[in-house]
Amino acid sequence: MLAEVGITALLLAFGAALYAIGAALYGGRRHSDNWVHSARNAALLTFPLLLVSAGALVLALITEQYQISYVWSVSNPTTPVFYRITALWGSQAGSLLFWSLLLSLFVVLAVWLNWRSHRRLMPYVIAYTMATLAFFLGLSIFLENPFTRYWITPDLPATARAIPAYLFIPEGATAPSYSEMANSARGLNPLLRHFGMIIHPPMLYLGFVGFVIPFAFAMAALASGDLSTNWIKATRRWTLVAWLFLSLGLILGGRWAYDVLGWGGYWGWDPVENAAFLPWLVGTAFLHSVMIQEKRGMLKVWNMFLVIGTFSAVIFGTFATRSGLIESVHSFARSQIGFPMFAFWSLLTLISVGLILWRWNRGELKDEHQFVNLLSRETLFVLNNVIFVALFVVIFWGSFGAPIVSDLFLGTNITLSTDYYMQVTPPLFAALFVLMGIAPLSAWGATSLARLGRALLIPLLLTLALMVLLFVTGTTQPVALLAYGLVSLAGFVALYEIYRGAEARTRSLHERWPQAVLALFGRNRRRYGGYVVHLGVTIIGIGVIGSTLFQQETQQRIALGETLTIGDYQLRYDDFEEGYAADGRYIQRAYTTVLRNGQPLTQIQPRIDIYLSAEQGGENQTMTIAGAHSTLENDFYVLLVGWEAVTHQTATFRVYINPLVNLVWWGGLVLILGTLIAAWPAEVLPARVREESRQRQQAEATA
Amino acid sequence: MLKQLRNRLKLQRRAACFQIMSGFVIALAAGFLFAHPLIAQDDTIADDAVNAIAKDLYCPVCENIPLDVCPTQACIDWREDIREQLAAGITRQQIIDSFVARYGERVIGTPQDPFLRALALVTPWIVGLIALGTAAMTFRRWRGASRPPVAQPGLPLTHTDEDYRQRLENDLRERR
Repeated sequence: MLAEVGITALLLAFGAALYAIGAALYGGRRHSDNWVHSARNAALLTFPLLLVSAGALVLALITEQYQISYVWSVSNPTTPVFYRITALWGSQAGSLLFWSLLLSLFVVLAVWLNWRSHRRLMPYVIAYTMATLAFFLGLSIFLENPFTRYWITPDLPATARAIPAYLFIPEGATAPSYSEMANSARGLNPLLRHFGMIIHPPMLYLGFVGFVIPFAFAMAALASGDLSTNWIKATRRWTLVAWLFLSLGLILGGRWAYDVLGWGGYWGWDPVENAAFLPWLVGTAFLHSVMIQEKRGMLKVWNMFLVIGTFSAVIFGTFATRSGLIESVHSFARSQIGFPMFAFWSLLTLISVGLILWRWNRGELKDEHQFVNLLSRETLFVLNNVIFVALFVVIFWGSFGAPIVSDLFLGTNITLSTDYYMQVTPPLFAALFVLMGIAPLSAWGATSLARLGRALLIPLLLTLALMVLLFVTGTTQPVALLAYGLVSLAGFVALYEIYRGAEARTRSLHERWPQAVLALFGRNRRRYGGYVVHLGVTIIGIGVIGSTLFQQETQQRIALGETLTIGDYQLRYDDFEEGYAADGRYIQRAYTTVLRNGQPLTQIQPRIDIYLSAEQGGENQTMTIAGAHSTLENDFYVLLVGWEAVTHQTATFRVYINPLVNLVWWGGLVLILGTLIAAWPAEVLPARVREESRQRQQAEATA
Repeated sequence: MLKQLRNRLKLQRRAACFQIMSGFVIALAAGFLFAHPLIAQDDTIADDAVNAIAKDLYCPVCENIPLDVCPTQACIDWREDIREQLAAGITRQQIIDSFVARYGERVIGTPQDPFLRALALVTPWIVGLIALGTAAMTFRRWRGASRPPVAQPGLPLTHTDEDYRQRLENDLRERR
């Protein structure tokens, strides 16, 4: 029954999306309010329909309906209820449905909140967003349907090893027994049984689908000819919200990798990680350059390219991750959706670029001002954009370009790993931090070098003081000192700007400091929120430098009671234990003590979890769970690598000391806080007042 | 009656013994089955020496995971292969070359072949230089087309303390 409910709702949502496209385009062309209203209603309807469809699948997961192939493939009787719910995004078919649900949620909110204020753009916004939704729903219905069920047909040979799945009940078919299906059910991929993985995919998907809103508004502006800053005003917060979720998704993904993948790091430059990072890079460039268009009416074409580039990168990343184009621990299994996704990505990019070129050719995207000064803020923002795009190019080349080119044209298959990225990205990241330090002090229009130098003096002195302090306390590597210096400069500038603003308030208004800071943030959330984001990026940068340049590692075999030494830490092997857990895992755990300079600090238990395969002859899945002692100074991170069977007299441990790694997570929190401040809506007037103001403006315009 | 009781106790004892034995056998079997065995290895070659090379190699069958941290049996075997080669006095570069010869360029993080290496490493810089050149030319064109560098009306020349304070104070005065 749940399968029937789910598929019916899915089909209705697909129909509603297709209808909305047609009605919106027709209404937009004919200037027919009725058709546009009808399109809006159809678009709004997709969300409740998809909620019913996804709800039916979640209910099927909770009530263990293993006849549904998706339920069988991602859960089994030992899966806890919590993981049954999160299994909705545990595999391709469910995650596509979940993706569509989130997309429709964003569309409903964007249409509802902007209906009155941006009416002219609405038909095209609906058409673009619904076209995207209809494409994903089409994938769910025709290629990756989560509601197919197993049926035993009369012609199925008794010796058949697998029961086939069908969307519609075949004639004369009978359902397989519950126990047969339950006993063979696969269970959730162990890699997904982690808190980070529970919230990481939804955050990433929210980030991805969130960028459909600025993209659709930009396309609507091009299609409708309303090329003022209206589309930018309408989408500024949507862009920030999408960027926030994408940042959160990336940070949580890093944390998940650090905890679960068992290699001592959080970013492996894996193609799938990079596929999520690429839209973030272009999206960040867009967030900066869009300010130039708002303030100065410049870079209109460039902003269009960036917003298209961001969404195009989202779709390409989704294609690369889900099609089997690249192999990665993060990617989905190879599937049939590769070609349709590639076709959709190509079509979307071509149409969008074509629209820009058409408007550009008609002279409708001319800038209102020219760049007049090389040190002006807009010039520095453009440089920032060039670097973001250069980072995009080198990372895209390493992840996809070089492997695909070598495979297609050179008959060999190459992988570019951390080595490559550590050669090409550091100079670009360094240049970004330099700009982060200088650009906030520059003014729109024009700035002289001498004045910019004066504004930079105090942050620069603070940076030099910090570098001297680091040198005196033992950080003598020139590369490390330079890296810390560049990153810190950006942080000091952000702090100094906040200080200057608050100081001016305390002097002129005699406010107390906390009050002055709060008032400052309240008066210009976007600007000061941006500074907090810069602070967050600075903290992340310090964490990355520390954990990359100063990481120590060793792997040693030690006997019970013995210790191994790394830096001024020791690890003592105390005991070993193995046995079955209640959920069927086979756990092998070492008990160890961490000591520093001979003094015990704490006890940690690195372990290995083995998830037994339900299928006969199937492969067991192994998870290496690190034990870690975390402080702000560093992480003492231990992996259990091997041991002597039965007696456990000796065991091998791989130990890492990751300096400042926790700053990466704390910096992430600061970045999120800053984005929330920047995106927080200003005081909203009551609806009645807004309506009166709107009517007054209309009356004035008519008069 | 007594005989029956004795028999029952005997049965219970047997059952208990059987359970203990079964538990032991299962634990033993599981220990063997799931252990990450410490293969008889050449202790003269430290794990750190093996991992220093394995770190730069990728398992030919795994998914973008460096050989030094990959937990699969295939990777354990390949690490032992490195250890044996090191014990035989083979150099780091020769070991890497032998892996590339056997499994192709994809086992190494950056290609060994000079052409592929150049293609991989130089291409992004060329693209970057072209982008920077284009940006520089665009700036020159913009500057050439614009008026002399004077401030726009209503815009401050810079962001120095005094201008900034003045603006902020004006703003606050209006607010009051």
